Amino acid sequence: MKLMPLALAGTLLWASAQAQKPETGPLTEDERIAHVLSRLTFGPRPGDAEKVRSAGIESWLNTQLGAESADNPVAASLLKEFETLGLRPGEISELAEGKEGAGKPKRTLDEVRQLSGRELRASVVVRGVLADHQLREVLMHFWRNHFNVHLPKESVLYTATHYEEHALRPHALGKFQNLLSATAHHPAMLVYLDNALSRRPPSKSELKQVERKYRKQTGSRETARELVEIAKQSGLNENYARELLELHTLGVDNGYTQKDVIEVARAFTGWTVDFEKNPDGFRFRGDMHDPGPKVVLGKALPEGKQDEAIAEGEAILKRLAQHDSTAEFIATKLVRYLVNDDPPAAVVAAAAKTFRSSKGDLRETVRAIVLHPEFFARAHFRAKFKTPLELVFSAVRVVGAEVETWRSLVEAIDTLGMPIYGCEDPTGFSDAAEGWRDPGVMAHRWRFAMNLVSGKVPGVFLPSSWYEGLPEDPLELSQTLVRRICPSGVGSATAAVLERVVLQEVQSGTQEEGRGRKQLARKLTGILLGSPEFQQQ
Amino acid sequence: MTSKFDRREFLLSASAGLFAMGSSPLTWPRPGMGATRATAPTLLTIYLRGGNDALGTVIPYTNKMYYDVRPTISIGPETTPEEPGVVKLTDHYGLHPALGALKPLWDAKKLSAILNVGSPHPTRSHFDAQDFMEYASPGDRTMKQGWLNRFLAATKATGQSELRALALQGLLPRSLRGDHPVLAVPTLRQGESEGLLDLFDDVYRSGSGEMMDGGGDSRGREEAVAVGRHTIETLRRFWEVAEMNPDDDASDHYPKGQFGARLRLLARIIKKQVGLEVAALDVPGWDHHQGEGSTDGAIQRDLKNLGDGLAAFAADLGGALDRTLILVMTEFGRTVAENGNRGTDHGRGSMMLAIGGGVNGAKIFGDYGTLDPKELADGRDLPVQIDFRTVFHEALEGTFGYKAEKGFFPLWSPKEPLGLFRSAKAK
Repeated sequence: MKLMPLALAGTLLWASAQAQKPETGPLTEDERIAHVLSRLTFGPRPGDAEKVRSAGIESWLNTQLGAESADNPVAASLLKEFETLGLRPGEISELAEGKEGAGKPKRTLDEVRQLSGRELRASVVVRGVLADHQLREVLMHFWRNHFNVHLPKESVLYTATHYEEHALRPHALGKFQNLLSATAHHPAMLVYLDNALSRRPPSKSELKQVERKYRKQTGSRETARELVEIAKQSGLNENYARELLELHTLGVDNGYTQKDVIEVARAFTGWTVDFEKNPDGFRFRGDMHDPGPKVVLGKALPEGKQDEAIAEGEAILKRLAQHDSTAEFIATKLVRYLVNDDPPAAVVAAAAKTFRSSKGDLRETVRAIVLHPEFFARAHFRAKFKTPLELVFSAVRVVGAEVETWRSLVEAIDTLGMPIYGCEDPTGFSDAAEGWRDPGVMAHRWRFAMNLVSGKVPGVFLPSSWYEGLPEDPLELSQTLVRRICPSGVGSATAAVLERVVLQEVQSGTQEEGRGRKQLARKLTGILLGSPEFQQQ
Repeated sequence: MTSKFDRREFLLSASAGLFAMGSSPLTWPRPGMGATRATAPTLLTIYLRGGNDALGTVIPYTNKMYYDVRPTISIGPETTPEEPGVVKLTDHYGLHPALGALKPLWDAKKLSAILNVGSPHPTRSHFDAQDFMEYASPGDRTMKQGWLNRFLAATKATGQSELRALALQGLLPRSLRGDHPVLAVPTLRQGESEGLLDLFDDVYRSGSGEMMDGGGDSRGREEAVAVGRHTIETLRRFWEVAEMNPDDDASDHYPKGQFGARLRLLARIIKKQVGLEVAALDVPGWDHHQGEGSTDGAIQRDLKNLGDGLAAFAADLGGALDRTLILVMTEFGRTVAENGNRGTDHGRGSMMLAIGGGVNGAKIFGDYGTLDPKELADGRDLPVQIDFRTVFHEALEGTFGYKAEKGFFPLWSPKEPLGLFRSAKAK
């Protein structure tokens, strides 16, 4: 009880210290460290800031931008437990057959395919939370979203794991053209965007027949015409072609026409999937290909004979990867992701220039962004609203949570509306704040924060180390937690609530027992993880 | 772009307005006070995700072909000591016995079924079919605003209730996504929800520029606070309404589980007359490729939950059912014949149920036909004879008097109405 007046006096002092006026001028060293850790990693773990400080920001950046490093030992040993990661569909099927003698229960094909989807989703969380080479994971998240596929769509369920490991991962910091080509040839993409079904359109006489049939069936000319429009789609499928131009390369309405979409779709007819002929899945079928000359983006395509007509699609991919609009589009998206929802023009220009001059070298393009002087401009500091995945990863990382059940984190992200490999739209999830501000959603973020600190996220725990080094004095304890979770401080509203919670604890007198203090620490941690400050990065 | 901006403005102004009123619970708007359209009619869409089997739901019990192609999953015309038979509605059609609780609604002429309804687009992909239906724009992937959201946006006016539209689930279904803000009620228990709202109430409070120190785009941060405030205020309002006189639930027959619990909540909101116009609820799990069964399988269990839930809901609404339309729908039907696993595969035409006081009740709209393969789509599926847009169009007009403008359903103009509403028929 002697403590109380002291605590009250401290409270007032502390409140005024917390409610600082906004800083101006260049970022301080601490702020620069916080900035790189929040943008180029999924948020700091305990001790990360000190590591960056002792290495120096520049040298830390160079390490992250440098050669790929293997998964760290903890992540690697976890990933080794996964049976299906990176496997081809045929290899996944084999897990279902025989093997009964090996002490494992016999599993159905459906079970092992479902397993591959679950393991893939869990692996994304394992690496996002644990990987030392964080920049690669941050970019993997970007490319996964850019070249979105939807796990529940047909065979994507059991081709996506190979897609992640062999189409995206090797190229996340590599050449854009190789990345684009790997996705274009992959069964996950071919099925997701329906190119596997795309074949030469029905001829005019075939369509006439269809119209006659429908008119007879429905008795309405208008309805028959509507149905013919739909019948046309059962031949040529423009889905992949459109998204290739709009979402993967040039950007929407950025230098192509609807005619280009159709011509590209025609060129990609016959790019299909056949696991019998090729364990990797890709197959070009000349008999499905739409022959004849094609003009794409104002230039004729080299025309091959039926079985060589695959060259048309390859030529398009190359042309698109080298297109100036692609450089601009990719640069803009990367800068939006790494810098600001409203991407600063100077940084975009620098990134696009590097993209062009390096022939689509993604490592160099990212380097141009993060080494641009404007990357550290105060206007971008804490200016981005975390997406649900970023919120969960950063919360788990900042407290150094012990994770036994990775699936719990996968599900937490599902609940927050951003299921990993679960975006139906080819656009991928929005990276800008607009996409994540539906009324009602904040309640889920708060629940996740409070569940995390109270052991209600199954198999995920605050580690005992979280309570180490916490001061006895409840006010100092609160300040220590602010420094750990929101190292650049909190605003007056959050500070006032922390203070009130501390005060209640002091008055109830339970904080003097160890358990009471732990409980206080948990509650304050939860409030900080749910605060508007922690929603920003 | 402008529409996004509008929404941001909406959120900011919504929370600013609440600040202006002060934050004391005593000054929150109360039902019956302020500008709520007290007797707004309500449209509830219930979406059976996965493609419900029409023939397993509304059963053509006099059709020999039905029994021929479904040797192990058909429902007999008569109840026997071993097995319940169909619940007869007409001389040809009956309900699956698991839907028996709906029979009184049929008898009271408040229930009708729509058969061979669906999309003109031939996709058998769940996701495409659901997209096309919820955006009400088959084959067009550019439409990104749900049809119910388009309705809300088109009829937006000042003074409308903040609970004008709700999804009784954590995430909005596509039909409700779009520029008009709609509350997705988080899947939280009420106590848990209130605890969180109280805990973060004072954290999400701003108005002053010094929310956070250390630069950045202060507008962006203000928006984070604004969305938090909006969440707190609308959810509190939701729970406040939902919890007023909780004991007046007229029906205690709701089935156990999420579906029943959500319907119970929704009934309270509707009965409180706080201006709820549109609500949506998903029911997952209708993709019965295997073990669909007859009266012993998955469809029995799922239909029982559905039928008992709807019957309890209708009873609970009481007189409020007269200004409510419940539309039960699904993305496509299933194969006419059963497959090798006592299930059915993805098909085309399906069914809907319409329940409400204004429904032209005890009618079967549409017809399965002979089920002869020659009359089926691709020789295997129920053909689509009624475009789902015809139903949506009529639902909006019959419930709200809203005539969809040209372009509301892109590349489609209304066809001959079905006569789904009594008043529409009388006209």
